[in-house]
Amino acid sequence: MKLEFMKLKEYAAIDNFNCSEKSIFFYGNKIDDRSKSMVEYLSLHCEFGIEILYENKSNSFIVNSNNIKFNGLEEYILEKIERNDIKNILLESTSLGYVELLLVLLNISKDNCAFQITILYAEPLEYTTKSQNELDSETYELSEDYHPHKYIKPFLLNEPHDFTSNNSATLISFIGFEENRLGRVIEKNYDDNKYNEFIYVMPVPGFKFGWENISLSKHYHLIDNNKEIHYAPADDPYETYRILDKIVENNPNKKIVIMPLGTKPCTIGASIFLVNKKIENRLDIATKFDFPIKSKGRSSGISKIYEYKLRLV
Amino acid sequence: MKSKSLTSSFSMNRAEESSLDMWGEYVLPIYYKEYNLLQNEKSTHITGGRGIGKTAYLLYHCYPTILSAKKTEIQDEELEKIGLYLKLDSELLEDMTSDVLDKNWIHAFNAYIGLSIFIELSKFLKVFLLSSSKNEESKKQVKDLVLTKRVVNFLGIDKDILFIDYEEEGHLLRSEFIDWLCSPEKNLPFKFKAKEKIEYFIKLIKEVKIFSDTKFHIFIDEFEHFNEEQQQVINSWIKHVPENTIYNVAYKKYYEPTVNTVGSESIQPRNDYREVNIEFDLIGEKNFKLIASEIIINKVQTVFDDIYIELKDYDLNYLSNEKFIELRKKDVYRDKIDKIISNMFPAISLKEVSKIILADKLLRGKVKISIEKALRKDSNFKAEDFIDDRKPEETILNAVLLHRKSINPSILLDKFNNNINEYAPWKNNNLFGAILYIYNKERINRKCPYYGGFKHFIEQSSLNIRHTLELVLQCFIYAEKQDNSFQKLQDITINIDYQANVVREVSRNEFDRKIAYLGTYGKKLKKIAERLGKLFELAHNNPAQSFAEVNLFALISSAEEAKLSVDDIADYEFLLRELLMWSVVTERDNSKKWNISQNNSLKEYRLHPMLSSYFGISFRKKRNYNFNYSEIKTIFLGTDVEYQELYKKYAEKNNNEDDNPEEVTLLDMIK
Repeated sequence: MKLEFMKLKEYAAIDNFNCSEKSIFFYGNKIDDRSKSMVEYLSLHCEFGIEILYENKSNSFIVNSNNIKFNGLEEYILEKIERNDIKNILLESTSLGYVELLLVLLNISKDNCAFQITILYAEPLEYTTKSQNELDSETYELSEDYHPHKYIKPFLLNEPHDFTSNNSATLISFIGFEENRLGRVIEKNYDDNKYNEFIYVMPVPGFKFGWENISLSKHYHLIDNNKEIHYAPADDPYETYRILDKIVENNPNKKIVIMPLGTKPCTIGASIFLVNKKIENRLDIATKFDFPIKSKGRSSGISKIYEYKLRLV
Repeated sequence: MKSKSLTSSFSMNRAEESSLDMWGEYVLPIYYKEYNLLQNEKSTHITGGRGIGKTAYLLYHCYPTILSAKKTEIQDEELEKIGLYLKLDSELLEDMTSDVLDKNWIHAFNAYIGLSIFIELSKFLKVFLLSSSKNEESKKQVKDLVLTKRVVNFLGIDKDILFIDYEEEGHLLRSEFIDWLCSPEKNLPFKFKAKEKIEYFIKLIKEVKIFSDTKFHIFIDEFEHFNEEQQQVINSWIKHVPENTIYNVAYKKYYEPTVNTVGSESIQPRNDYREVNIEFDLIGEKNFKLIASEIIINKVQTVFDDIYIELKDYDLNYLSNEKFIELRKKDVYRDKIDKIISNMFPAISLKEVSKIILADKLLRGKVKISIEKALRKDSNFKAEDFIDDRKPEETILNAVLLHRKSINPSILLDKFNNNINEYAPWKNNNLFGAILYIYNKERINRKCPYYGGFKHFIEQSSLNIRHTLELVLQCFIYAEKQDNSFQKLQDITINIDYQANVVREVSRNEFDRKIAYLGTYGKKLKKIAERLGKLFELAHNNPAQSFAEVNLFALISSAEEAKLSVDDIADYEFLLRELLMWSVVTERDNSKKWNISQNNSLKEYRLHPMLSSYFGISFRKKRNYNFNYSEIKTIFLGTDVEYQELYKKYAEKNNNEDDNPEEVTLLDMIK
């Protein structure tokens, strides 16, 4: 079953959001104010929560403190949902990482139940800025470190992407605040030569007036004049989906790799897009990620809550 | 018109971006004859630093080059050794481990390599058919070569297929393989031993007359992306060499793959494999300039579809041809190349730079202020006494020498007026330092032209051809922006100011935009580079310049060492290796240095000279800081606050440097 957007809604505070009956929620790492408050609120109002953390080193998950193999996630999730007769599924995306979000969406889409799916996201009031000193030139330290880029199975290209296939792909990269993330992809490509085309999606307009300028100024040196640039609002998964659809349509017969290195709502849009394409059995669309180790307390406060309602059709 | 094509030709400066056929493009290293990879009966481990041209070197030995369409004839003997290049998808390899696939990993790994090599073999046969080999009989045999149903049954193919048609089938099989990798709980579609099957396929090829004596060399690039268990498999193949196939691996310099095999044996250099380091064995520091020049000249000649008059006598594609290596070693030839490249990127002497400083109002002012500051305590002299346009080098030196306590202004003035020969050792040791000191005061508005010039490009590239090509590309872009179009080869020349601007830009780009993106620890590497650079910068901005051109560091052991935990040392060594592997710092052997003190480390490390212009420091290998372990820990692992303390300590030391005794150099001792 495919995912379909139902409606997008904003709340001034999480208290204004009502949980439907028979709801469970998925959440991830509570690293800042907003993810903590979100999980706290949902814990009180849902049947129960499932914490999912992806472990990069062992390529497995820790689900509610249990070690689950990468391919065991589907079974675990579906069993929980079926056993508890769940009708509504909430994804607390502020805390959920990309892999977790993508795979939960994929796994619930495989089930033939008509779930109501709600994705929640709390926008930060502010991102923590690194203290300015004359010796350091970096400003935003949203991630402490990154891991090597890796595919997220089953979102692989249909043939090994290597010298033998002699087949370069198009990279669609979302852009956020940290230029290192895109820089790493481009630098690595000098050695790998996997991408012969780069398409960028900028978060415009940003969450706040002026934030898009941060993204632009941080990345301008990485983006050549002849590269294709698209714009998706920082807070709008639907628009993101639409733009991805357009890009893919305009690039027929090309292998496409999507890297959501931008805002969470854009990552949500990309995840829904990828899941639907997987359901359609499109073998030419893949995704890779850099698994950043997010800095603790990387943001402070909550500005708005976004609710993105989906259904399975 | 031509400048546009120049920039596009140089902007593709990675081997992977051009064709796989290296004939006419690959400039054979001077010592190539001893390191022709196909002549080796054993495996080879090929190592090379970032940007040295490792991929191009490997591809030179592979079938697209051997059977190049650019060759008008191909002798049968040339087909006795054939290379196949293999670069696997590193991100996919990560999924073929025992952690992910349990015991199925070995089948997956074998399948991935096998399926890829089978395709390469099929492609090789097709390229042979299209080549200029005149051996029609063998071509016919190749066309008819069949992989029978019985042979390919293990791949699930249930019909006979022509070997040359396997490629298409092979891609489908690799797709099937990916499908399985996504759902490894399903039955594995391929279970075969790649080494044996590859050998078998090769034996079939050897049925073709022309290939009856052929050995196949498989070059596995980026071996550092294989995990230990995967490397062990390849090591076992290296240890137990099949009859017709030799496995070779290539990886970054300073990376250390495992020597273990799947069994209890290990592979040993000399016995099982030979090591080739591209920088030292093939090129050599002394020949880097020649090779870089040849690469550039070759590229511009291709763009202009013309040949420099000086080079008209040489065969087309002579640079890729082993026969011409001896000729390229001769001085007559080297002088020709030198002349062409120096015309393209002329250099400037320190004396000329000194003249420029004095002719430039702003910089001259800085010289004067520096002299005035030094003379502040001594009202007997005026700054003008120490400035003389006829003696530019000595004047610049005065601006720093007068800051030294050991220098008496009246004695110096006497030398300045009556005996400038006595400045000779200072010119050697301090002039570039003094020049940088002046330029660093106006870093935004003025760029020191000494960074320009091809010979200095070479020093700053430090055996990284990518850096040299990037400098050249940026020079051409700069010329293009200035509407400076070159109509013919001989017109190409880039003025020294452009060159200096370009060096700064490339240097800044390397620091600001490259290091952080390297490998997995780029952010950490950038931080260390920044910390080192800032400390070197301090020494360069010391008014007395008594310890000039510091751009290296060494470790001295001391009681401090005991304060470091085993983990700290391991972390430091790990990061140092990463810095070396990505060429953010380079290493040199210190053991033969004449004045090495007992507690010094045997290795010296240098911030890559490509970063020199950005930090306003010298690119020449000169002097080093001796850091103790505690200082090294702060630089490599310390917090910003800890580093700032260290920085302050060094800043104070450098501000009061005129109290320190002048460093005694070898030249001073001879004096």
